Amino acid sequence: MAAQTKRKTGVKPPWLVGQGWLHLDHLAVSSLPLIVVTLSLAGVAFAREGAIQAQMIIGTVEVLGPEYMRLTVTEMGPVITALMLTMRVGSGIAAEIANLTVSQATTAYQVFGGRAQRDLVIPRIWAGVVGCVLLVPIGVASFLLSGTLAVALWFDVPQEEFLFFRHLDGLDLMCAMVKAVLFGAVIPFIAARAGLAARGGSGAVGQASAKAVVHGTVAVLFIDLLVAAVVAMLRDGRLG
Amino acid sequence: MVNLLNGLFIPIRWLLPAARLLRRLVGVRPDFRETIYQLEHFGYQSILIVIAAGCAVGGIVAVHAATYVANYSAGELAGWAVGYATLREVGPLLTGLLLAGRVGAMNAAELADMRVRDQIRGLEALGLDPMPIVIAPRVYAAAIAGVALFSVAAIASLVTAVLGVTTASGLKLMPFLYSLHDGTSLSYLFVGQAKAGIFALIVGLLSTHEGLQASGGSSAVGRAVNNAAVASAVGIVTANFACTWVF
Repeated sequence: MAAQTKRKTGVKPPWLVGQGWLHLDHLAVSSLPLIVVTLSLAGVAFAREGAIQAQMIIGTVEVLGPEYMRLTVTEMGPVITALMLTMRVGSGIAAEIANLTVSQATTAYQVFGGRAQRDLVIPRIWAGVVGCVLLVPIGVASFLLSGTLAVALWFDVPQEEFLFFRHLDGLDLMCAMVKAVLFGAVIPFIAARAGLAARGGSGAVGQASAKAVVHGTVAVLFIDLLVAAVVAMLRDGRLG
Repeated sequence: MVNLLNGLFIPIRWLLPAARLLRRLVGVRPDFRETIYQLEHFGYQSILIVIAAGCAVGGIVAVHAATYVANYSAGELAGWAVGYATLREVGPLLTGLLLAGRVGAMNAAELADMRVRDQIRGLEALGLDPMPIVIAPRVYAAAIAGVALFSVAAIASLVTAVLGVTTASGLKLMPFLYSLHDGTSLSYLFVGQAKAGIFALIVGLLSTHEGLQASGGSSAVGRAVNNAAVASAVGIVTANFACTWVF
């Protein structure tokens, strides 16, 4: 596969893009209902709570729109999508690879000249990055639309007064996309590492899977903090 | 499209087994020693990871609060925004999702492993009911640990957020603390704790259910953990949605 990639692209492997597409189905297509449903529910809850608080503190709901929009695009959309992918995809990848490791399938693969670590991890990272870049905008759209519907239904705020696309700038969109790429790379990487480190019997598979979820969740939160801090500094002009 | 329509039933598919297991637990007296052991296992051993996650959440809240202070010169609202986000809204949700991974996945992995090794059946063969000695202690311990861990995470995130906002936005510490005191009430913390308790109970119920469903070899254990993590996450988001109407 690696040699084939080199012949076709002239670029030194390992890229393993072809195998990445196979994993994309499991990662992105199968996760779509989960992302749409959970982000929609979270969007309604967030908008409704925000509207109640805005009414109590400021006395009006209309001011909520631009901030809801910005927070959704830069923060809530990418983070909740990534956390859902950590739960679904991260634990799945870890379980799959740990199962191969404890059954010594990876050792057998290496005996026949394969490079298990490279061939198992790289396609999944590709799929993770592409899948996350595709799913984050869908998650953001679900969050935004359900929130807009919630404030329209319960607070009589028309959609044109709530959705302020002009308040978003290039930095906000870049922030969301950078987060999507980083989350997409880190979730499968951490999961694959947990899977490859599994030793023992069936208990080890469960432990690897649980470790992938916990480490993935913490990594997502810290990457989110890091990117948010860098974007805030760029906005202030303290960087570049 | 069919895929998406199926997605609409995801919360119902997970919440029904949780309700069924909860009904079975009513009236069951959990084994005291096992409950304490599970509390230490789920709660005490998770403190460090929860503090780390709490600091990250506090940092994220601080970055956004500092941006709003700069954009709208709304220094007097910064305390309220930080208290509200960390204690009542974003904090419980993100801590709950972390618990879904830490407590839910770990619980499902252990129960699924016991199941595929026929240890649960072994208990039954010895005439012991697994409900009070295996299942109930785990569910109760998960719920209690959830509330305690959220409180720890809330303190960590609040301290980080206060330090972050005062450092990043140039607000003085004492005026900001006054703003936090004026804009936040203890009810925020109680609502957050109640939410965390509900989330953790859902995590305990769903992960126990998924763990006990496992059958087969090591792949079944992995599948159980995967299902438990997804079910817990869906359960938490659905419960967060429902909490909007309750609190």
